[in-house]
Amino acid sequence: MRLTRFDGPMLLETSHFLPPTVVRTDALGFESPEELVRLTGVESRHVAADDLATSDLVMAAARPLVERHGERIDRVLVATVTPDHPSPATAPLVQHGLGLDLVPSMDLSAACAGYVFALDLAARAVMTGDRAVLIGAGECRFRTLDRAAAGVRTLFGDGAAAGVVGIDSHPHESARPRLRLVATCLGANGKHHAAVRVPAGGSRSPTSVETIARGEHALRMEDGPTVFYQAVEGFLHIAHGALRPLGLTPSDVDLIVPHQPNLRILERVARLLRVPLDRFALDVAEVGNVGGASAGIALDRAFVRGRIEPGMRVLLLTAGAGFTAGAAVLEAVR
Amino acid sequence: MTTEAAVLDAIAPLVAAAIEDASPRSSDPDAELCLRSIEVITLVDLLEAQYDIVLTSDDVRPEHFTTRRSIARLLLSLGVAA
Repeated sequence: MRLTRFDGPMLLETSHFLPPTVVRTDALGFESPEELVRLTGVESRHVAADDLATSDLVMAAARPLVERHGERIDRVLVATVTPDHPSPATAPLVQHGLGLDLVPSMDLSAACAGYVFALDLAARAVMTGDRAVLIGAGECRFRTLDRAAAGVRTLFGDGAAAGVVGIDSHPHESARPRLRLVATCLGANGKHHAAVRVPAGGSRSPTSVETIARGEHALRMEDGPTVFYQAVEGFLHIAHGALRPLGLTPSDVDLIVPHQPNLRILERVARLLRVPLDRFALDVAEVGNVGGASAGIALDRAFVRGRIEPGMRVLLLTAGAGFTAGAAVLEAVR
Repeated sequence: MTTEAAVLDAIAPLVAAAIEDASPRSSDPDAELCLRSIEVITLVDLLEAQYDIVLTSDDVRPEHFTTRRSIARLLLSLGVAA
């Protein structure tokens, strides 16, 4: 676990995009949709049209930010585990599609912690000279889950989030507050790499007729309840890892914006952090789990709902496959 | 009554409350419970509330929730008294 304190970088503005098509859990064709909703808390999710890929969703999220900050963007980071193609990266498609200069653009793969990992990298980049960094996180997961278990397929939706990270504001045109980055805390534990993963399609097990026949290109989760509690522990560990060195406790946080894996996981995290659930920004019922984009989507929706005001302390809190986990402490400022 | 038997008695209503379908499960402490994920999660909540404990992911490994006896032994290993 690695804590980094920052003095200067800000999340200047955020945005998100959810495709318009909504699929309810009771329309997925499973036998017990009510049980799946109780197990996951996911009542519906947004699903991308077949002709859209992850880069399209990220561009849709990022376009309004580029209109205001495009001339200052010196780097593009895209967090995703469902890239348009296995190779090359999705970020150059985003850079080109948004009409940005020929700036360095790369993907990062940190599963559901992707947005916070991207935020951390962006903050480091602006500390070393970039004027602003466009971070995007997007997933087109739903279409890959035709052969996944019911409990897995129910969880996921499609969407994207974006943000612009910079040292200071050029003229602040938005009525929203900005978020000053206080610290990030990131970690990983490859011991549990197999717990949540797509088994085939990489160099360990290249795509073949056999891997397709075995359904090894859909996300798998081992031992559902065990993964559930491991995820809770990941959230708790990284939350305390971010807050304690700053002399803070969870109750010092005004709004926790988590990755949205499953409502019951978040209910348990809230209980064990001793924080009321209404202090969490929750999207899971109507958006589901959008992988690396979830926390970013929830953050922007919290802005849209007026839940973030100057003076508030915000904790981005993520944990995901790998295992990876990331938290960011931010303060809302004018 | 042994300690294990007392814990088995104490958890019986919790197991019953966690099981969601109408089909009764055997009360034999060594019979497989075949708990579904949602039932395990509910049962963990009930056990934590009953005994004022917090179970970890290691505690919730499948082998600890196979039978009533395995649950009781887990609780005893955590120092829970009936």
